[in-house]
Amino acid sequence: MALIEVSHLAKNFGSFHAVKDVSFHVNEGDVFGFLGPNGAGKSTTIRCLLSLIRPTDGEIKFFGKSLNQNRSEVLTRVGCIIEKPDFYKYLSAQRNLEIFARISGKDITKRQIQEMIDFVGLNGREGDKVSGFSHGMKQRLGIAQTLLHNPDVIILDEPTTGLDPQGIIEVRNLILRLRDEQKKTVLLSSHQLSEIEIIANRMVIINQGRTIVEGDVHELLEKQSMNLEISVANPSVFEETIQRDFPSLIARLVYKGTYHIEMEEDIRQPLIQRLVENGCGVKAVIPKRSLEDFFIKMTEK
Amino acid sequence: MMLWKNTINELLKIATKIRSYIGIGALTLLILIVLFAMKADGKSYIGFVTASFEQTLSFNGKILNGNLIAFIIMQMLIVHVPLLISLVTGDLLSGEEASGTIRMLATKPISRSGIVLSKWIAATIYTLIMTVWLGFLSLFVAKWMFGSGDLIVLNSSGLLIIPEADLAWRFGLALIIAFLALWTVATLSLAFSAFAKNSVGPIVSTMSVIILFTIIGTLDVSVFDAIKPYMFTTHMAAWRSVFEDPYPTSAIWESVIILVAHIAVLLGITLIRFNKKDITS
Amino acid sequence: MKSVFLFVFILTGVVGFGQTAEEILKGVIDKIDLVEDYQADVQIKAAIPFIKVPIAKAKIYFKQDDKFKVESKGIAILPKQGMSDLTGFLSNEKKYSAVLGEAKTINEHKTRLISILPTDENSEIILAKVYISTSEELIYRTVLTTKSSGTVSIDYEYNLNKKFGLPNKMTFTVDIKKFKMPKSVASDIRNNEKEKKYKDNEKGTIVLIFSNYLVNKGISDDVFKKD
Repeated sequence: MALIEVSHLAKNFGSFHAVKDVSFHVNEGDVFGFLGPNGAGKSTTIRCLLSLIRPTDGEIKFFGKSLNQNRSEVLTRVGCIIEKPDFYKYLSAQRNLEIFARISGKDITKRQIQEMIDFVGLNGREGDKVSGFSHGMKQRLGIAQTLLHNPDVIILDEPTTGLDPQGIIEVRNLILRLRDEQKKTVLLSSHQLSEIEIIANRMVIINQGRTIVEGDVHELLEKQSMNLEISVANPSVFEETIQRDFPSLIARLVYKGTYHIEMEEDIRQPLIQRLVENGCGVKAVIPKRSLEDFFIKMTEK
Repeated sequence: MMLWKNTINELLKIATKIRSYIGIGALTLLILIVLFAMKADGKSYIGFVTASFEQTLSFNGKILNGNLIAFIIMQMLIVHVPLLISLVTGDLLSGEEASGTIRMLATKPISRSGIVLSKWIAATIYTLIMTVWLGFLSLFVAKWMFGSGDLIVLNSSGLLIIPEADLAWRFGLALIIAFLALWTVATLSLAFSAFAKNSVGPIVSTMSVIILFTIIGTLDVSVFDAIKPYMFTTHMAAWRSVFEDPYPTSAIWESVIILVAHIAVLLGITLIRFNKKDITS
Repeated sequence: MKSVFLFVFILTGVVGFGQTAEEILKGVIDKIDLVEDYQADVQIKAAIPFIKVPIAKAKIYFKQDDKFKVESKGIAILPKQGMSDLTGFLSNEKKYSAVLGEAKTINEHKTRLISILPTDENSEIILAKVYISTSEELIYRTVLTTKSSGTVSIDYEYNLNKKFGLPNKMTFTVDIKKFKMPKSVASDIRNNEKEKKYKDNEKGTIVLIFSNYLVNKGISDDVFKKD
């Protein structure tokens, strides 16, 4: 069942069309990647989902119900972090959570708040004012605030921004736990494509305010043509061979002596053979079918 | 239910902000300074008020008493207390916008109207606390320092002496009307706060409006005569009417209605603005 | 016989008419001198344009030569001149010269006008017109002109303390020409009315009703100490 349905969403800010036509759906249990280059309309779309922004057109449904007409009921079951989480700096971590817990729509006890503080690794710091917290600690507190009311859907907008590699891994593991152990549905917007590739099972890519592609991550990657990364000792011989013998192929120089060539699977063997025969000095051949490549391909169109 | 829960949140936030105590502290300090000044040289102040009459008349009895001091304090602070209130109430929405917490708040199940109303209720309670504190300091502390007695009031219609026994209810009513005036200021600054992204704007705007309207109110120019009765600043001093004999019931009611109407309209504007606002910060 | 009566009558008239101002004043002064001290309750009712004051109750104390005090719980407005200063002034004959004037009936009492001119040019009193009942040796009206307070007129009524010359009612009529309505001390922005104009000849009155006189019972000097 689709927990989130976005149909032909549009948002104009005056004469500027930030979102023109975005549609996608998120199924129960998905970790859903929401991708797009800067300025594609991702943040605007997410803010529309959370009723921070009023759409100009289109429809948003959660749990089969219109967000517009069931806002309070919907948001009781949704948790979110939008960019960096902001808190009341003059209050302690515990007091911040109490404030948000009070208006979460559910009865949350002090014991549950303490358990959540422990869960995100802030035990011992709950009495400290948030003004003294590092970015990583604020992010943890943001996760605590998101999960406090046990939401069914979690929306994370750039949750790893500013985190160190350890922090990024912790967030990734948390999302996987939420999916596998707690059966949460997660919509995740991130520029960390490698992370999305690892943890997301479905995704949508938008660009210039429109949906470009939506579907299962692995199915989409499988369908795309292969990218080969070839490193050669004699770049000039390599380029000459490609131009003469494989004129339909385009070799992009990535750095000195290393090229990316997009091709169908059946051309790979003949190409490598010809390069070796012509004395290009092939040093390495690495096949790539990465989300990054897919993303660039989709958004360059 | 969500409204009252968030009102508790708002009161907690007000209670833990330093600026809330700046207002109360400044008010206390101002009043203590006035009390000290009156203790040191109140008689010459009285002389100034009664100077015109003292050629032919002599005033006997305890003129400089706690009731007169309370009246003087209420007059002197008519410009200062609105500023102290708007320091807190002007920050309620714009402060959250500036700090980013408005995002966190607006993604909760409470409606936009619920957010505004809970902040307005909290602002009302803060204004009430300031008014009660003003009343306590000016009436009880002044009486403790200066004793009690009849009140001598200089109005534009002349000099009025009100017996002590007739003062308690007048001061009570005056404080209620003063609270209405300050409540209007609080609602005005909250309205400005809905349009701003930082606290300074609403506070400065509120004081600018009060000063501008006050100046227009005192200008003896016929072009403004049509609007003067409807400006809230014209009615901010309505509490003084309680100290007239006979006190003008219809004029006081008129002031109450105008102030309440301002509160309703300003609150309406705030609700509409905040409901329509796209939160992009 | 008829001519004898006529002669006596004319002689009496001549003698009566012949009383000098000093002689008439002496009767009043003798009464003043009988009072060493007195205290009384007084009810004060003021009707002065631009002043609204409820009826006030006070206690007044007087002790020779010139000690005078008003004690009121609330605020009481009294005239600045004419309370006790006149009687004190009259007691010292060397400080003034008196001129006999017209006869006048005031409130059914036949009185003679005595105009009193201070000899000291620094005196606060410029002129005092005193209307005295020669038969009762009581003052029934005073019109006092002073340097700082203008002219104040005082009518007297007597009851139980005639022998001491202490009135039970004094009605002061003050000239409000000297009043200047000041601008409000603090902003009174409600009122857009023009400052009220008053007529040149408007008067204000203050009525004092005395009761419970205690005369020559002794009053301590401590009573007159300033608070």
